Amino acid sequence: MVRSEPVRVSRRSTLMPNNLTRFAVGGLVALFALLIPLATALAHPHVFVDAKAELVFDTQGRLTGIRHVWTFDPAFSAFAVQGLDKNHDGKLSADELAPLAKTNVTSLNRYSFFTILTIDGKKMPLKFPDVYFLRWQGNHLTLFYQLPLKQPAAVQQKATLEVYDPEYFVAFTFDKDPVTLFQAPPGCHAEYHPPKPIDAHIMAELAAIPIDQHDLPPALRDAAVGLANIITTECTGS
Amino acid sequence: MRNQLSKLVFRVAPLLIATAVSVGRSGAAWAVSTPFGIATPDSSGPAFTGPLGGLFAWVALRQAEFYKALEGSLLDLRGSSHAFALLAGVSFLYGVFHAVGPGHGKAVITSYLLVSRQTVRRGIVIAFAAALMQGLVAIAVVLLAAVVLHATAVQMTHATDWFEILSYALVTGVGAWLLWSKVVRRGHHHASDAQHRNHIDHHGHAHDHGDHAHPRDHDHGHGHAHHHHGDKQCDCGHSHVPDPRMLKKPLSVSRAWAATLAVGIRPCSGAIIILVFALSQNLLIAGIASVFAMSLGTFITVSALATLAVTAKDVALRFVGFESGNAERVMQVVEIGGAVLVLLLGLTLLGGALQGGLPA
Repeated sequence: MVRSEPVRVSRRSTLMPNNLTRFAVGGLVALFALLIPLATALAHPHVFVDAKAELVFDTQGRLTGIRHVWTFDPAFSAFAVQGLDKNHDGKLSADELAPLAKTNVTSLNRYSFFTILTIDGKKMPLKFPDVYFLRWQGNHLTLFYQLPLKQPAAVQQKATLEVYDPEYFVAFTFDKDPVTLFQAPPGCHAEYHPPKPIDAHIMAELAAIPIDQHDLPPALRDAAVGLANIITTECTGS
Repeated sequence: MRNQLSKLVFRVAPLLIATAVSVGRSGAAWAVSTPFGIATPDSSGPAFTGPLGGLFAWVALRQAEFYKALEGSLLDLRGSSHAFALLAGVSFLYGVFHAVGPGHGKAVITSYLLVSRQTVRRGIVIAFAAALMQGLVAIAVVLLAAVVLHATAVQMTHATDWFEILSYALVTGVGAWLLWSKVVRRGHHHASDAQHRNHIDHHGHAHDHGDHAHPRDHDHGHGHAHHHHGDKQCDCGHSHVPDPRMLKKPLSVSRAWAATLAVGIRPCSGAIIILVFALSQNLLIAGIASVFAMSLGTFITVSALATLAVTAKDVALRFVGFESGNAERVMQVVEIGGAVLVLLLGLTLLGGALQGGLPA
């Protein structure tokens, strides 16, 4: 086995002229060594949701709730329903899926359902879903649920619905028929605005926020809106 | 100087611990909080932004793409003859990118290497063992929980949350152990600065020899033979296991195991999801192959980072000059800093994971 003897003398002779400079440069490089273990941490999506939203109005033309239809990607769907086919008939009945649906909405509650509703500039408080269920179709699991407004509210000018996960664990896309209006008064129409292309630097700052911290620092809040799927409903009145 | 230092650390340590626990509490409850109540996100705790923030964001975006591609290639597996190669390749890349982003593995392993004065080669072995173990744990969890016990996703998530807590507790333990050995034991054992400088000197050269392929146990024996006298003094000049005290009692090896276990015992939720998905498609073997490919990717990243960290430390020592007292100071900063880092990381992660109570 070949082992060479250390050759240290030649290395230290000409590189740096004085000890202080060496100490400074060495210290910096040492700091860099310590930064390697520190450099870290981005959540990244393990759940991809193909979403649709429906805005529900009552007979007096007030907005009463939001219906979400969230279809999960095949891998997450398969994971979610693992072990739920209790009678082993190869089908997932509504009963078999009911406990999972409850777990889903209970957990989503802590994330405010990734949903922000603003009517005429005012943020509207939402209640816990009054209807929720899961359906299995093909190789996808779909979560249906309805978020009622605390107080039904008329839309004078504009309702804005934002759906997004600022911490990017859940990736939302609204592809086909992103939005429908149910019983909307005449003169209302909805429009879907996709998220702006993600600025990598902003995303890094957002992702650095712990996943269950829901109140973003104000400076980041505006930036985060760029990630949102935004559905606007404008009513001209009648 | 060292006694003063250990006093200082004893005074500061409780403060650090309190800070870390409160950070963990105010921060995320990773183990118990997840948007759909299943599949706890992978996280490595306190995040680092700044100049590299953009790079990490880019990595997260790429990783999302690889994850989607991975899903797609599993679905295509029966239709296409190239799909298996595609699956393996995509899984590998997913592992590479996964280790850059979340996953506390690289933080623990690189810090451990810096603090314990391990060689690059030892680091690569540890990174390999940890990545392999991580894959094996994911496979074992899915085989046992899904195939044998027909467990639900909620139950599986609870099970992996327990592994997570165990892992974070081990990280904390390894951090405390490293700090203890660096501050307390070092204070007792050092005879003179001159001796120590001598040691540093040799350490700095350890990596020049790191590429020689001699078997590990030979190494070990070699260390033994040269180190038993005079504690730190060694005239062999190519110590690969530079902390001789650890060799007297085989602490070095058990600590390496502890670090490996701390990292390897926590399965990544991406791997679990992919395995269950593969199982549901009757493609379990492909799923297992995919997980091994991910492990290989993780291993490549972590060993690259470990090499970079150890090399940077050695370069730092070269700049400082091995024979100056400054080398000693730089080493102390790196080693105690690294030990504190592992301890804080462990406490923060543990605090976060335990925040909402223990999983069911």
